[in-house]
Amino acid sequence: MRNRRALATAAGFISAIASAAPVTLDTALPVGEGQYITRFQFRDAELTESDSGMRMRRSPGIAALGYGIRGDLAVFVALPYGRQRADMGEMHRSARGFGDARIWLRWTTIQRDAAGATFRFAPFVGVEWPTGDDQQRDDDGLLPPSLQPGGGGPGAFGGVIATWQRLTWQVDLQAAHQRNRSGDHFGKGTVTRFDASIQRRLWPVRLEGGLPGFLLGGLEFNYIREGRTRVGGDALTSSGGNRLWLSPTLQWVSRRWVAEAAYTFPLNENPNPGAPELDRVWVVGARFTF
Amino acid sequence: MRIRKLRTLWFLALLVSSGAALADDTRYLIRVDGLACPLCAFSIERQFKNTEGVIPDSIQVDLAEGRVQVDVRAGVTLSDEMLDELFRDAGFTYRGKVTEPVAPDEDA
Repeated sequence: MRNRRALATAAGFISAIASAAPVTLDTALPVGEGQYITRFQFRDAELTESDSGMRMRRSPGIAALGYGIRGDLAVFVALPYGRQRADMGEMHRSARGFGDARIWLRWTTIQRDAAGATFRFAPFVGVEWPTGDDQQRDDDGLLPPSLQPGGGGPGAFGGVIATWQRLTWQVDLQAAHQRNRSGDHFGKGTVTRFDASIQRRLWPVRLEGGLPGFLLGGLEFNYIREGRTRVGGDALTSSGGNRLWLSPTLQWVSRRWVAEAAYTFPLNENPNPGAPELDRVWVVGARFTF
Repeated sequence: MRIRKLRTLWFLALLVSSGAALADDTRYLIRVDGLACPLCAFSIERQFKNTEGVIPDSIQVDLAEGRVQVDVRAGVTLSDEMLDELFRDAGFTYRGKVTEPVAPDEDA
């Protein structure tokens, strides 16, 4: 079975959780000192490898927690748990389990506040630790890297986020890069991505006072470049590539919680020969602060 | 002489206790910048609830006006320095305040 690790990993690259964050990328909005914010997100992705007709499905649930160390510095951790399966004709293979944990720091270095508006710029840096199993087996033997819950080896990532927020709209831009080391069996390729989100308040149409909840509609763009997965030191030719995805989103934001939903589909897929292509991803989630 | 002293002391005690009973709580109307979403307001409320002397149920955030209203007990003062640090810890920017007395039964 050909590898499909990198694509699915990129689909769940960073779990943004602070404030009125977009769904598929992070935001530079603050987590107050001593404040906690948690996010639970469920994703269901379908992929197809056109040459063989193999269909894959990845369904991770992601739990993330953020803590405000200071008004300009926050730490986040995220851990996925999910199931992945592949079907081709009479062949069916699947695995489930915890994936790799991520921990990162985000520091706001530029903050420009005005009445009902803000601009923030925040670099972030973190590590991904191979807590997930990368040696699961089924009746047919060792599962391929694409179906393993774990990513093989550790990784380090970093990037920057810029956020413009006003009472009626919000724009987030993110650039990020992750380099991965191989574990005992395999290792993911490098990932570079550029993401953009624009959200607009749909309701209330006019803000009259007090603290109402907001209904936000948005569009998110993800451009992802993935390097090839390495198995035993050799790069798998059927992995990696470039992708451009689009996600319409809806969020309900209240004082203490957020409900979110998104549907991701490809605008342009240019995978390396034999690598799978994304069909679609459903995302639903919720955030709570305390 | 002693009776006169006692009368004076009694009168002074009455005067002081009357003044204390009539002292009002204080309402702060605070301008804050950077506040543009409901979830952001919670971090401000949290900082105020952890501040001694603040009446917890009095905290109100107005997004459209960029204003926070909070009442504090008589004898408690929120200085500019305190408010600057409080809003910075919450992740926002303090811009200024106006105070007014609160009638005793408003915070009951």
